[in-house]
Amino acid sequence: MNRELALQELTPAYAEALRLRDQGADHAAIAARLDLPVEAVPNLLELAQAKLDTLLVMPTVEAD
Amino acid sequence: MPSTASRSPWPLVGRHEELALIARELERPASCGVIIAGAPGVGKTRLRGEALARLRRDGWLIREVTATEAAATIPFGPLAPLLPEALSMSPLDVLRHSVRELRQERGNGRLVVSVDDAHLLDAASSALLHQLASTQTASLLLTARSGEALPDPIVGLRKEGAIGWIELQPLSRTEVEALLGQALDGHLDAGTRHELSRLSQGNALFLHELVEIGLGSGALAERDGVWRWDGDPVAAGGPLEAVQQRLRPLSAPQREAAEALALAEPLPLDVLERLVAPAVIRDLEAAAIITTTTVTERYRRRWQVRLAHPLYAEALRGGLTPLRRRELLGRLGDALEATPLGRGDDPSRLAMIRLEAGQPVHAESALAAARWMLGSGRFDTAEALARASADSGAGFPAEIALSRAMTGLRRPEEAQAVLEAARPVGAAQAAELALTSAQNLHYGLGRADRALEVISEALGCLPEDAAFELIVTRALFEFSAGRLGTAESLSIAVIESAGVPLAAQIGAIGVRGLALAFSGRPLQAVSVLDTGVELLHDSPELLATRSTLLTGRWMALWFAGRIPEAGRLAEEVHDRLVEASLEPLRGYWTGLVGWAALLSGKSRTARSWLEEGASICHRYMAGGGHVVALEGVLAQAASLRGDLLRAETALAAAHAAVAALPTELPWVDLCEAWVLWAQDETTRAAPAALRAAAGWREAGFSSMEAWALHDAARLGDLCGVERLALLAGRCEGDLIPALAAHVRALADADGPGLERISLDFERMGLTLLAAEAATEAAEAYRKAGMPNRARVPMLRSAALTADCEQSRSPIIARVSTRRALTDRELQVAQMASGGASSADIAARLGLSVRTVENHLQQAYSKLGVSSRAQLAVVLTTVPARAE
Repeated sequence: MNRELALQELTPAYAEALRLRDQGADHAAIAARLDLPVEAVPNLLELAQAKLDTLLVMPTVEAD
Repeated sequence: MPSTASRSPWPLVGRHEELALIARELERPASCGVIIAGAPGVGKTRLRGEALARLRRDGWLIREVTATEAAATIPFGPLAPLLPEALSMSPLDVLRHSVRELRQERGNGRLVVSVDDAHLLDAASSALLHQLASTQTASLLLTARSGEALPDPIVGLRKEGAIGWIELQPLSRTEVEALLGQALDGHLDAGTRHELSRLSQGNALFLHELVEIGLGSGALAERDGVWRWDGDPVAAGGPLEAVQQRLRPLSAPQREAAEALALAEPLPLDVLERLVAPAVIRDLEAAAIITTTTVTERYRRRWQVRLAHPLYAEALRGGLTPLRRRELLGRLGDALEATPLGRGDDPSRLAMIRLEAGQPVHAESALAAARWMLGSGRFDTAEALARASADSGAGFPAEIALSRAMTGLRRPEEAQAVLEAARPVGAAQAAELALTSAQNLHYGLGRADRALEVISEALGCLPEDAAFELIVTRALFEFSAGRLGTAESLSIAVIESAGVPLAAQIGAIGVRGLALAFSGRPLQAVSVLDTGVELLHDSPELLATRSTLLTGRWMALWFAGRIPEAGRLAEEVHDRLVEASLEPLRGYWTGLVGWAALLSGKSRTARSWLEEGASICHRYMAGGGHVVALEGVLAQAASLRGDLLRAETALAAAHAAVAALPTELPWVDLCEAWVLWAQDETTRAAPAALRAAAGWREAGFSSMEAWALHDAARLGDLCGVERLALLAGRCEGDLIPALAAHVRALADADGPGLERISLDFERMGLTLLAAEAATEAAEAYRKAGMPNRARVPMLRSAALTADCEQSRSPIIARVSTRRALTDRELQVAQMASGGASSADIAARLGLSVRTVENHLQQAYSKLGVSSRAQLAVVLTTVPARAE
């Protein structure tokens, strides 16, 4: 799965956080945009990246 | 079965990364613990429970409590179960004693103190937690509701960075779907998955409640191996308790605003402010019942309001009486009409609201709404809107929309009557009338010849620039009738013309691609179609009417031997159609996902998707090529699974649908071949495949002819070997030469050749064919007295077969049986199992009846059977994992 598709598969807050980081936004800006305490941002980014990495190596999803 | 999912706890899905993060946070030097924050129902408590269970397994000492509003009124109330008898102690003593006692209890081990709903802690309890954490007596694992104020000591830990903060997010769509699949232990209809995912918005609590309601009411049930929700998810079982709890405290004006949003969200803020006072809207926002976003239009910022959760809308709509609904719609219509519409506001929404409220409708708005509904397959609503539009004076375009709705509602005669009464003005309208009429004649009434006549008559009197769309439609009809050359030349003429509208251009590329793919030129097809895919990408609104292009691409990928790509394309288009609510088309593409799975040997996966796809196609079409194709593939999939009954009913449905078509399709013969094989009619199976091959040959569908000849070979008749070699020389891509080489190697019992072919098939994603070739290779080596050489292909066959979901295979079955019998015994046994008497067999093989009986007895004895009926079963139903 390519990165853009994988981003679309993420929960919106994760996708938004990663896009903002890619654009160079700092933690305070990400926190303000997502209406979160700034202390929540490092773990949010870590989780978002981990979930993205999982999607990037995921093979085609089987139906059952 | 229905209550299984509700009785047992649901599996924890999609939280692997969070659990790993919690573990890392607790191991971090100087860490005081973790706070899991999130919205109600998002799964904080469940995640905390799982994390605690893991910590317990790792040897941590666990002390856990739940804070409540009631306990929070008493100092240390929530933590009382952890504390010493504190009646006579001052708060300071309680703190000191508690820390000391917990430290003693902990000893040299590690202690975690966990509080659910920590935002409800009183000041004293949170001070104690701070003390425990800052003295490194215990690590904390807390949950808290997002947006709620936390006690100061906990905030202090957060700000110092001493405690990690995890803002728990809802599950993603993929995670919701995985959770549903595991909780229900089966395959879910894609529409149901999408709807449950949309309604729950990844909130595990809502999802669980929805599923329980569905199971309890029977609306969510497993039918033909697929879980499906029939009807309105909320109306089925009443609103969700969790949702009702949130909505119960609303005041009358707040409820009115929320109800208006439930009927027509998102609404511009200025529209909503015409219904209720701004303060009411602000209060709703503060209570998280609504959310607001801004959109910028023409350098001006506009506010839009929507409900915070789709389930609020469902619950609010469910609570409206008909008169209340009508009154609210009327007021909403007035408010919308009185507010200048922004670019993002759809006028068709106003038409829908007016129509439902029984008020006069603006003709153009109703027409736009009717067209949207046609694309979404909601033909009954489209009909009402088209009639309203016609009544308001929209004239000819409304009559076209009305006739299309009637065709969709399977009333083609009425549609034709509407079209015959329509009076077009100008060339463009005349072309549209001819086009709609031809399509209704072809698809609705099954009168292909008359449809072509209508197009020819129109082309004779229309200027060129109005005719492109008609030529594309004619090219498609010619393709359907098996006249590939005509279809291709017509589409090329459009592609090469100047000034062709985009839609006609994409349509022409699609037909040309289809013709190329089926006539054995899949590589050219892919190349041509890619140009159209780019155009379609830039104009996604054309997806509804120009999906032929993508169908052509799927077929071309198949015939080029690029099966995994075909599967990915089908999934991608399917998802786009779900998002766009293009339900009728989604049926076919759901089936194509299954078809690709079947090509790769996954008959169980294939069957699930095909059941769903065929069911949607039936819902929207009386017959049609899509139904023939999908029911036929379904019959094949069911045959490979040994489900004879389902294979026969699917084949019957394909036959019924093909009878309603204006042209014959050899496809049904090919599918019948596989059903005959499953029915143990082995002597009739291969001839049916050869009949299909002859039909495709006559029509010039070289790719399909080659596929059918190869299937005949798999079913036991290798007579197509020379013809396949000829086709391989003419056709592009890797697939057809590989099919020809496979049959040649089978005929020659060429072990090394079969091994090579097996590798080729595997590379193309044709796993079952790869397994079959490997099995035959092993058999060829054995027969040639080289049992050691047979080992590698035998192992490959076993490994490949294991990837095929226990699909049955005639080749693997034959080899297993053959290994036990001599050639003559097998020949006699096959004829006997096909119903021939011993005397018939003796006469056909030039043997005495006594010799035939001896061979038959030997076969009975080796196979452990005692009758011809049992013999037939053994000869054809040996499991695929015979190795």
